[in-house]
Amino acid sequence: MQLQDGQLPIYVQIAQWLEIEIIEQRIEAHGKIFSQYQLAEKFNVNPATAGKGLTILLEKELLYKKRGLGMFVMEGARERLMEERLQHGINEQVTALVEEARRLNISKKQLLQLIEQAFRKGGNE
Amino acid sequence: MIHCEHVSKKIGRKVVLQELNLHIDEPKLVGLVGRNGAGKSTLMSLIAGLELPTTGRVTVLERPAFDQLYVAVNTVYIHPNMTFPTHLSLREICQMGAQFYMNWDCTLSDKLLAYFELPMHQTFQQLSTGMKSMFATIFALSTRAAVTLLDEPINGIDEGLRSEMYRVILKDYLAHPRLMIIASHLLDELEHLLEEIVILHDRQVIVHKNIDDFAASHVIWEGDLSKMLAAYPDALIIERSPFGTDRVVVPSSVTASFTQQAISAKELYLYQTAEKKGTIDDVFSNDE
Repeated sequence: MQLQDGQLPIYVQIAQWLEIEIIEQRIEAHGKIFSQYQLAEKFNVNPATAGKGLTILLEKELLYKKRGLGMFVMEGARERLMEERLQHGINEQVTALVEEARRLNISKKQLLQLIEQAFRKGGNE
Repeated sequence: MIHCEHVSKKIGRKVVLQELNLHIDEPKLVGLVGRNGAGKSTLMSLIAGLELPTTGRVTVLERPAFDQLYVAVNTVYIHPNMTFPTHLSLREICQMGAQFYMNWDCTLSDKLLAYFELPMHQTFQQLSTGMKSMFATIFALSTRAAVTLLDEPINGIDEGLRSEMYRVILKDYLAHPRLMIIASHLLDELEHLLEEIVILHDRQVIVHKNIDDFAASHVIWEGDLSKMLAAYPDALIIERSPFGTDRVVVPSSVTASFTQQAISAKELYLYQTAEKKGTIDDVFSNDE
């Protein structure tokens, strides 16, 4: 697997990939996360770089270490990540969306209609 | 593992390396880069014990490197100009390797040579440039030598097989961590594999760092050149644009409110080793 986003250092991209694994529950709380060697092989990078990706999650206390066994997902990690994304990701995107709508003279009503349409297309309503 | 202390090397009258110091103590994937003629190959052959430094000391695995059997059986050095005995087929060369190197991995050499479809009955001289590189790299990995020196291991290998060869190197390193030093001009293809980078320039090691830290040590600013130079006079100018968005490289420790961009290890290496003599466009320019 190759990571492509050239703007971010590889280890940050690996950290982001791991966060999505946790959010999408491919690794549950107290589940074992990939080792730096597994990540190195998966992403074709040096194990030290892969280790840095893990360290980011460890420092955010999303992972914990068991000596000799590896790293595991902290209880509540998924919820904290989702909250973080809600705060940063969605809020920022909604603000940008509203700004763009103003530039294009789209009314609040029209924008809400577009959002409803998008929901219907996604089959979530 | 490898210690070069105050190493100088003269070849004829030319000083290739001067007062060079390099210390690597752990198994790692290290990239050795430098512009043409920077002395990469000379440094590698000193570490492999094929040559004596003019002055200074090269120690490999706690012993003086030059002409030491112990260093020889624990070191492998491949490079684009190497030769193997002309009367031996690839299969016989591997058998010879297995006799010399105690940890020779027959399974690995057999599987890789079959996978890459190298003609085992032919001699090394009969191979194409790319196949020579592949064979030499597979040979080097199969030795499992504690110190593995790969000088341009991907030399001449076609685009389609290059990424596979990089993966071979990484997977074998993961399975059997050991010191691998890779000299290459293809830093952009290679940099993700590396843990450390060593840059040779002006006859010395000017950088020896973790490669992620190296890339993070500088950033690119975008903006108005005069303002950026006012904020950091030593900024390295990399692009002057007629539209007012010039680009410079500065240490990431400098704070300023210009648009910032990350820089890759390859770009930073190129800027840091550039000779300041204008650009190729100046050569073709008709202006007097």
